[in-house]
Amino acid sequence: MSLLLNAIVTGIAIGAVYGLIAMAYSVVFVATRVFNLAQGDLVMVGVLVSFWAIEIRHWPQVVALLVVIGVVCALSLVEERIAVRPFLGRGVDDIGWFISTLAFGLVIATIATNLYGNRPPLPVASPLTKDAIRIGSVTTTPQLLLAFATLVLVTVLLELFYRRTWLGHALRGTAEDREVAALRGISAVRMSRIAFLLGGVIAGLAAFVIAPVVYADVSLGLSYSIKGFVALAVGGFGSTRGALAGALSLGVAEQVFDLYADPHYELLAALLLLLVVLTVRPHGIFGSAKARTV
Amino acid sequence: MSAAVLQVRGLSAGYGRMTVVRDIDLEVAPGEALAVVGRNGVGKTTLLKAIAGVRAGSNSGQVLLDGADVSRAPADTMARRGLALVPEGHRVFGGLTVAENLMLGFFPWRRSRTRSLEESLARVHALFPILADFADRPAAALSGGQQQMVALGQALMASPRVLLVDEPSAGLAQVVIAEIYAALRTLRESGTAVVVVEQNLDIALRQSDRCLLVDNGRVVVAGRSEELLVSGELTETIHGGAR
Repeated sequence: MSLLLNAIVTGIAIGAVYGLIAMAYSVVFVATRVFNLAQGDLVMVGVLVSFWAIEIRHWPQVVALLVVIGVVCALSLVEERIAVRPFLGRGVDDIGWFISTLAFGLVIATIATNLYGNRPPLPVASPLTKDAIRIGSVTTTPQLLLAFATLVLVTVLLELFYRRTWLGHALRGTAEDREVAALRGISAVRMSRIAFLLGGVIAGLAAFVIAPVVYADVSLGLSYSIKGFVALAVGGFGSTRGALAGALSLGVAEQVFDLYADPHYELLAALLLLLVVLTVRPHGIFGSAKARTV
Repeated sequence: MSAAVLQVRGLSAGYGRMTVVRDIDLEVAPGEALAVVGRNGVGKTTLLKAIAGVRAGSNSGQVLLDGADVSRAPADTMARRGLALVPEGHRVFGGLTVAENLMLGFFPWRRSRTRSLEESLARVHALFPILADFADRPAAALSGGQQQMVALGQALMASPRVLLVDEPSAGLAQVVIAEIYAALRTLRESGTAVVVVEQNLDIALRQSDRCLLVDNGRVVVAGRSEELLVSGELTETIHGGAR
């Protein structure tokens, strides 16, 4: 029982890491109906910049955080301009963004590999203590708790943003009907740029928070892209609460699978979870999936 | 009559390489209602979209708003400059609540503004009281008539000087049509210029000051609505064209 409880708590904490990546996906998807396949690579760049700022340059954590967010935001905006905007508003049948965002991710990964080299994963110092936290029989680390707290904070702020602000309504409305949004004075181009800026902020924040957990590693982009995608699919595309629920479910499913099956086949846990949830709820736990509209 | 707030000169527009609207001139003054009528597929909707800056092909001609040339302005710029189009088909943001739909119509960074958010909302609720009652409902859950009211209300939140409305009565019950046209009358009385595309000839002539009959992308009859109603010229032309 204690082992199961530990697996669940660890799963929630690991799920928080996936959740932060899923949130970055989600803010872009909510506004543009584009699934940014380079999102995992943007997070990877953020992790590498965290390593460079903290371990190489020895900058204070706050400065490092601002630099990471700045770099990831800038990359995200470049991606929006060259890999996404040309395909927006062309109708549901045009999924050129699928190839272009994938290509953008590959370009980032290639450049990062050339610059960083094929080094083994290297640790990134955390501002928090490394000592484990024990509550009864349950053990976790302060860094994973920070990831969970960050995820909850990001989720609450995004929900308030979407529900309470004009800009939040405008982002949701533009994704639903670009033409009517334009007729109300809303520029779809501006909304797309804002969505990628927000996605960049969250990806940068996620990268900084998870860097001490995942270590600096040029190959983590693809695996976290997949985890973020599964979390979003399980929770429901376009739903902030869904991204949270999907990510935590994924983390728990993986840990329970590791406990009772074989950790070498951990990816199966994600696929099984995806199959089960989508069989019962085809649009995910909280989702109402829609193709990108004209 | 005061000077025209909207002037269209020699406007041609279409989709891709196909020209649908050819060389159309029109103008409308503050507080005036202009009806555009014609059979299906003659270019009425294309005309409104072209005026509002929604382009699907190459347009030519001139659109002047308060004397300023806005021919090349995109739809979002046109909306911010005071021209609102309510497209056909009760198009609202179904995933947003009624209150969120209305709030979205109030572009917060518009430089010249005549009403505050509260004043705009009160005005819309006065025209369509049911929207206040259904404020927290998702717009997708409303009936067609209620969605049309949301669509109109959303456009009015920006206090436009020119309101273009495409087929406001399509598919709606008589009582709802009456409510919508009553709201349009109130708007005209407050100085808003209204251009309405209407399939129902009787409604179009009774609810407008002037009327244009469009056929094959061109204006074939233009005149004062009262006179056209009495003369029956429009009915004859439409039926003659249909034969």
